[in-house]
Amino acid sequence: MSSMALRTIDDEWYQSVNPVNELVRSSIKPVVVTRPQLSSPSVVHRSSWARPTVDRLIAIAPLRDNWDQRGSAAVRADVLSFAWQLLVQIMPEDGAAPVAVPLGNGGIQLEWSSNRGDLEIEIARPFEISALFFQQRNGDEVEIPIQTETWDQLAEVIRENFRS
Amino acid sequence: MINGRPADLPEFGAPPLTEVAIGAQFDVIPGFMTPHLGLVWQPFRDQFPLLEEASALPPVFETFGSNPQFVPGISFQLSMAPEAPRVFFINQARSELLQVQRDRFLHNWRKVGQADNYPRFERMLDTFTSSFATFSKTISAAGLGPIIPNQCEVTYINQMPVPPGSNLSDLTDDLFGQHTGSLALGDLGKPEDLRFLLRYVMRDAEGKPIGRLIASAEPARRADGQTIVQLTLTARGRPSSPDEKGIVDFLKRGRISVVKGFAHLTGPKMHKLWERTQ
Repeated sequence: MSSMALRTIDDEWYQSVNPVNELVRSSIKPVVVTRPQLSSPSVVHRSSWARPTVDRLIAIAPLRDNWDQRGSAAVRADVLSFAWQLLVQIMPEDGAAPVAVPLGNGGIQLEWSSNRGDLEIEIARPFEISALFFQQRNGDEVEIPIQTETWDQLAEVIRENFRS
Repeated sequence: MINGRPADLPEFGAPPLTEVAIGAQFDVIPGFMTPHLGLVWQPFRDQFPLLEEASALPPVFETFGSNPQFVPGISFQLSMAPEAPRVFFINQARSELLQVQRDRFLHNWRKVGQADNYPRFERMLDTFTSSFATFSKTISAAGLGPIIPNQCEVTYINQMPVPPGSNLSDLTDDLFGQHTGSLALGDLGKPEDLRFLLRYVMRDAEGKPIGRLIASAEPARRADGQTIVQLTLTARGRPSSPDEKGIVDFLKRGRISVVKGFAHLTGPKMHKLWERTQ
């Protein structure tokens, strides 16, 4: 894996994260609707965490098999894509950017740290996620497993503890 | 045939389908490299003797978090170099194909000539399941695997041409008028044309989200110059279990959502034209 792209969508009239025609060859051309002549887009936000997070994911994406000389697997592209989608759906606009750490099995770990505690989300493969919140309480650290079957609790922990 | 048609499913004698795709996305198969595609083709080459190459499809996931899925201001794309290709194994009539890449296995039917009739979902599912079993066996024999499915997808593409003497506005009205009739403005009348993207959440028996039905419509111009409205319905989501049974269960369920969605979104005048029987 040696090339990555960061694409802004400001100039597109509309977009969806998942194009609907994923599987098929298209033999048609959509009728183009020209974007209205407006000033700077007013509805496209710039999340503070997005750019540094992409930079971090790009930094670990090229790691190949045995990148640590201990036999670790290459970082998986599908895990990186899944991690990005997870973040998009749980991060508040002013959320703190996580640190992305490669794991030995091709997965990654996302980490946040603040004076309220530390959060670790481990993504071993798409849809295989575990998360722990190490909360600071009166000088003690309390380990709280976070439910990941749905992502509501993850979003809540980040919203309450890890804002930039 | 491994599946029967659900009795209550809307049925059309002459649906406006031009392409149907069913398949699965799985975790990247460790060690799978471009030469393995040749091994995979061997058991299929009699039935699908023609080959084409295409760019690999990026991984796609239907996920469910607090933020709407369409929110991001930056999309993240990874491309691979050297890029692992996607290969089409195509039948002699060029109407059916298998698509293979290191994290996808798909089966398409496409209307090539006017006389081509949709072979129906049940037959496509038979072809998909037997081909997927052959693919799995080949991967295993090559010492690769396991194949761990993570998403499944059913896509129906319908193309409706503007009839001679009519226009896009009238066709749009015939197709979607029962929903969009109230969009006519007092001073300007009906919209000249229409495009939409609708997303519905699919849930399991416990109410947990498992996927989405995505319906989109837009005016378009076909390669032969004909103006059409293209209506695409896709059901995509997680298999109930990471195996062939889980894939088949989702595909069957996705097909039901697609067909019911199509019947609901389109109007009775077009249903008559498409010979709706129930």
